[in-house]
Amino acid sequence: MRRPLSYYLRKLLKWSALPAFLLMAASFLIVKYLITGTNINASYITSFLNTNTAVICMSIGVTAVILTGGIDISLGALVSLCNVVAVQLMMHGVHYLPALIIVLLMAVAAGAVNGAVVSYLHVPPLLTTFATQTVFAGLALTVMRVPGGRIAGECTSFYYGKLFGFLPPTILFILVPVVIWKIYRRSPEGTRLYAVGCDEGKAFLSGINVERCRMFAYCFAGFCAGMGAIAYTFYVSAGDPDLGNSLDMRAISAAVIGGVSLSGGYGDVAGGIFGCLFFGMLTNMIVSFKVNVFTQNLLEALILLAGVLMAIAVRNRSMSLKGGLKREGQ
Amino acid sequence: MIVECRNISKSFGGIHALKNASLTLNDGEIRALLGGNGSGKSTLIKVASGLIRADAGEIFIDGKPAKITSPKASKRLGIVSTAQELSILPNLTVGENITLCSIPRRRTGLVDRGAIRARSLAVLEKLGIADVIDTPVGSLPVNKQYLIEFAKAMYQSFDILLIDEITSALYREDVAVVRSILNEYRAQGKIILLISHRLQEIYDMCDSVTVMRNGEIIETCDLQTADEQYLLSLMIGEDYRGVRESDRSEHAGELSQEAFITVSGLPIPKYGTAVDLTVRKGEIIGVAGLQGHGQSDIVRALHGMNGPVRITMNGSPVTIKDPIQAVKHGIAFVSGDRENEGAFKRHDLAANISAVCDIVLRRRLNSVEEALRSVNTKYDSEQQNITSLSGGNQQKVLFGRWMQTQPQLLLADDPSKGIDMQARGEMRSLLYSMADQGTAMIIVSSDEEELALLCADRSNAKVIVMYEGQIVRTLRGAEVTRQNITAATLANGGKNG
Repeated sequence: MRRPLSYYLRKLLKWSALPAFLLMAASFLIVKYLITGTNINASYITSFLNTNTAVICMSIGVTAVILTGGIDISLGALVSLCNVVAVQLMMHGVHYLPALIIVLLMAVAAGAVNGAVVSYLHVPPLLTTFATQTVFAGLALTVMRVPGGRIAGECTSFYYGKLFGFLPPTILFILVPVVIWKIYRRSPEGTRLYAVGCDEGKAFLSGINVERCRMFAYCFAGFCAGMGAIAYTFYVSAGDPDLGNSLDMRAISAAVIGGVSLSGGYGDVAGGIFGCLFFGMLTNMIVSFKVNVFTQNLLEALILLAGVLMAIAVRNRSMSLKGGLKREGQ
Repeated sequence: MIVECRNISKSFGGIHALKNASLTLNDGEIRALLGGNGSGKSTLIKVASGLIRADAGEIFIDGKPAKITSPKASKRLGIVSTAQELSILPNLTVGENITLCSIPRRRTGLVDRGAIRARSLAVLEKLGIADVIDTPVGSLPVNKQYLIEFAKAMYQSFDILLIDEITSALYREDVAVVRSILNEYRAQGKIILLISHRLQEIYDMCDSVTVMRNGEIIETCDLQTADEQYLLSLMIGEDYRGVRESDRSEHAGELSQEAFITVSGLPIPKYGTAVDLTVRKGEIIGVAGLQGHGQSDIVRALHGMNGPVRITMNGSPVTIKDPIQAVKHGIAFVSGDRENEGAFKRHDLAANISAVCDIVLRRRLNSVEEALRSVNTKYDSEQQNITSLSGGNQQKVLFGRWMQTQPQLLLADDPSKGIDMQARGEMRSLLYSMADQGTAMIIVSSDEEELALLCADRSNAKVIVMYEGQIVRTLRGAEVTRQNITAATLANGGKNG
């Protein structure tokens, strides 16, 4: 069916990820035109993506969880765990392919544990993932006490090579979760997941398997963290039991800036990706100011807070509009 | 096909919601389920639709025991229900909502968006509201939301349809559409069980009626033979006429002539009109009208919910900016929407009844027990959760909450919604005693019978009737009858059918 241009325009304006997209675009333009000494070219973008792939993957995963009305703060620790396990396996002579498959399976299993505790044992998600975060971080330290080790040379050369001669390979690690999500979103389960996030009781009443939707979201989040961890491991070529720390909060804030409602049911993974790219650019921008590291962190945190507030304000405005109409109609 | 419920029992925290309920339904029958709120009809429907599990008893379909363990299992057995509190979700489109229970897919397994649209349009066309397909459900008026809920049930293939209070939110013309669709289903040999508080609708739509009271099935009778009085007496368990007579014999004293509150130009945004109103001390003003014709706007605006409003109180001008100021000026507001605007759902009775005094007025209640008893609440303990009470008892607690603030003006928006006859009667007595102590009140109700009972033959009461945002009629004394009120709500209603 052909629709008029205004239909698509209205749809674009209602797109939950639009503010994050504009922020991202603005930050790129600022870096490109206002900050001297940076030159946005292919190698700049490649290295920019390399540093941000892990957090982008995590924000895709955590968005799925937030959409069900949950939260997952264990993903950062999971990234660290995956990183040290991958490095240790390769150090002990395991071929890189089985090593990476083991890591991915472990990540999904970790997500499944979160999902099972949340959906079948009905433990609040924040509490559950706080507990498993500690477990994953502890395990990571058990597997590798201090940063070190190295990965198979094939991995490094793959990562720093080119995909089809022009794409940075790190794109692959973002693309796989995105494609899986897009397929899921277009399957009936995708609609059901949004229904669960909006109102669990009504979804249950509609004959939806609430537990299965939750399970998928947490397993998917685990998988995304696994993908992110592999990309990050390839990037740094070594193991570090603290590698992923604090990344989960970045991923969650990126999702919120991306228009994902923390109460569930509203938003899209695209928003989280734009949010992450905006953050990454922000960091680059602040680094270029050449202020000391504490000021850097403070500035970054302040801008982050402003971004989150803005995202929430934009959403509340559109929601209160709805509420107003509803009352009028009664 | 025959559906049999045998000896179903269910209790919530020591309160028996269902006691050995047995019921047989035959195909091609529209059965009404009638009874007060604590009578267990909603519980029975929830058991049949798999939302809650019965403590004892079984359901048989064609003689075979049906294992209903979840809504999904219930749907698989061909049982579909509509929910009183609506099961539609604001973050999905109208089409997604209607098809949510079995989403059409393509051969690839992915969602077939074209089919969602086509099939939900087919259902909406039957209901005559095809135009809502592209509207976000959250911004639809309430009656349309209920129609979507009904459309969602129509979309599913069912043998047994359970309808929990859908018509009370609908316009007359919507009800007519629903009725003709139900007749079609009856002709197809489907079983329909319908809960409604409106006797007239039950007579119009149904073949037979099962009356419940206090969790028990009292009687099933043919609607051809049973008259209204008889059904009411079954529901109440005592002679209905008697209750009504005793209500009417209480005449109040003369009303003072000076105005307590006057408002002029109170805006009704939906119609762009304005309303003038004068309220005297101890006066009961009932507000009637077709749903959504501005009645709610009057009480909500006076409570400061629609922005600042200027009124004259005891001769001096007062501006009420928000509900906090309204409360501080002695204005109380009771909503019929206990779910969203009344009960603090996860809190106990003590917290609920003392809420306004504690939080807004910073004054402790002398005795929670006394407060609960003053409104005649049936309860086990002050610490029990408010949601464990029946709707009528919850509403009594909420009335109690406001009575403790000793309001000068009581506003109510459909306070008797979803409440049984008995509780309604008690609520009326409460209102009368408050009026005798000088409290003025404006009571909006969608139930004309209720308004007639409240305001008829009382020198301190009148009923005003709204139509399209304006007051079109004022009824006093002996004029206040259900027929007169209904007629007045339709008076200008040639356009509205």
